[in-house]
Amino acid sequence: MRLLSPEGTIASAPALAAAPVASLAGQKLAVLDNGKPNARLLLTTIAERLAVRTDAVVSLVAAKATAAEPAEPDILRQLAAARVVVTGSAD
Amino acid sequence: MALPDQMLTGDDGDGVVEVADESPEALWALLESRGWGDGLPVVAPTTERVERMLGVGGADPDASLGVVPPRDGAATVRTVAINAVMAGCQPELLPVVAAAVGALTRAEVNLRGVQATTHPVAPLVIVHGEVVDRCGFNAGTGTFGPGNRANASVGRAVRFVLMHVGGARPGAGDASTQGQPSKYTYCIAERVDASPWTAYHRSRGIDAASAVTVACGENPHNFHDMESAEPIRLLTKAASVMATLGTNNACISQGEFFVILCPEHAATIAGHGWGRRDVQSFLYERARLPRGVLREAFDTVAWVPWLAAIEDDSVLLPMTDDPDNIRVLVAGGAGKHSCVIPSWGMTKSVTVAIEP
Repeated sequence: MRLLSPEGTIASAPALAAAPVASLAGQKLAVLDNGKPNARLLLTTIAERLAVRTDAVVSLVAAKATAAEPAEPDILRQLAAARVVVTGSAD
Repeated sequence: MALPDQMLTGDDGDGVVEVADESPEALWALLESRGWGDGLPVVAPTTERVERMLGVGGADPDASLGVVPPRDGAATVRTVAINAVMAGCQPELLPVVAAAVGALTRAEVNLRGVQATTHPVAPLVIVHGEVVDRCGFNAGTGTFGPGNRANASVGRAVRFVLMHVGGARPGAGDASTQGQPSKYTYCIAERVDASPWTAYHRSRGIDAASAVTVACGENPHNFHDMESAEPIRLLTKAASVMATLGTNNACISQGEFFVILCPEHAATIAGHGWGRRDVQSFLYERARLPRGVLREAFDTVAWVPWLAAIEDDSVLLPMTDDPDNIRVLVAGGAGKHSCVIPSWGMTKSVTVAIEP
């Protein structure tokens, strides 16, 4: 008996993970605060400690307008200037 | 769990699965092995059943209805039909399911957020117009369920699309902390024959014989009023249900509230000359909390600038920033129970015509 899959195909090309960064020395780190409670504190602390350990520079701390929606295009353009972006954090 | 060999005989890699038969045992094993379904029995989506489903209405099976996040699955008419078969829909219901799925993929719904959030939000499907009677939807007693095939299977088919095409499975794609019962199925029909006001979809500018609304929110919050013979005391109870600190709408000012009035409550309200807009305006004015209470409850709020600018803690702030965010329609049977459905917050309902 033949049954049809209810999943269908995926409409978008899969996103690829960025290549590992060999060294962060002298590189720009950015933080994207996703708007969840304590996200800015947590993520900025991680970025600052990472910068100290790797001789990188925290160049930008940006925030989404709300946790419930994607980051605005202008925010993404600003983040693109950094080599690494630290983000994440749920409730 | 691996599917027993005697039940699953092969997968040709093109979305077709070979199973030995459609016995409950074989289907249960298939669902479990693939992570499909909602935990209840399904109808086997055989080629024949799906073709029969697609034979109604004449829509192009490959036509795109949208992309369903977070998996970014392509919702085609065929894929939706497969899910509709599994959910138990009769073929004439496919246009309703397809319209609802298409509406959900509109940007203003913010479906990625709806699907992935820890909030229990589920899309409520509201069916309007001539399709209600033609396809046997229950707009009357027990419209939220259980017991009616059209209501139950349409809501379930939409949920299946969100799970299978969109990848919103609990824990993977759907982070809802507790879930909610309306994630199984959530579909009602507007009781236009008992409504004193214009059909809801026409009030939203949809000039069509039939339409569907999708509104992403919580389970219904009941309010009862057995005694009031005038609108103010009755609707003050609705306002009380709206003005609570537990909903996302308390800290997000653009949220919507669907107020589903039973026919008797609607008749009482309309009997005093109140129109739909009057109900919206009254609830906007009455469903309020002091600014200080709200700010004490939330460290972070997402309020429009004019609300955020108010600094006096004694000012009563509305639960939503615009009376139009309070949506009013009639459904249900005899009795004096109505309900309020608060939205998830960062989402807007969408109403679209149902294409035959």
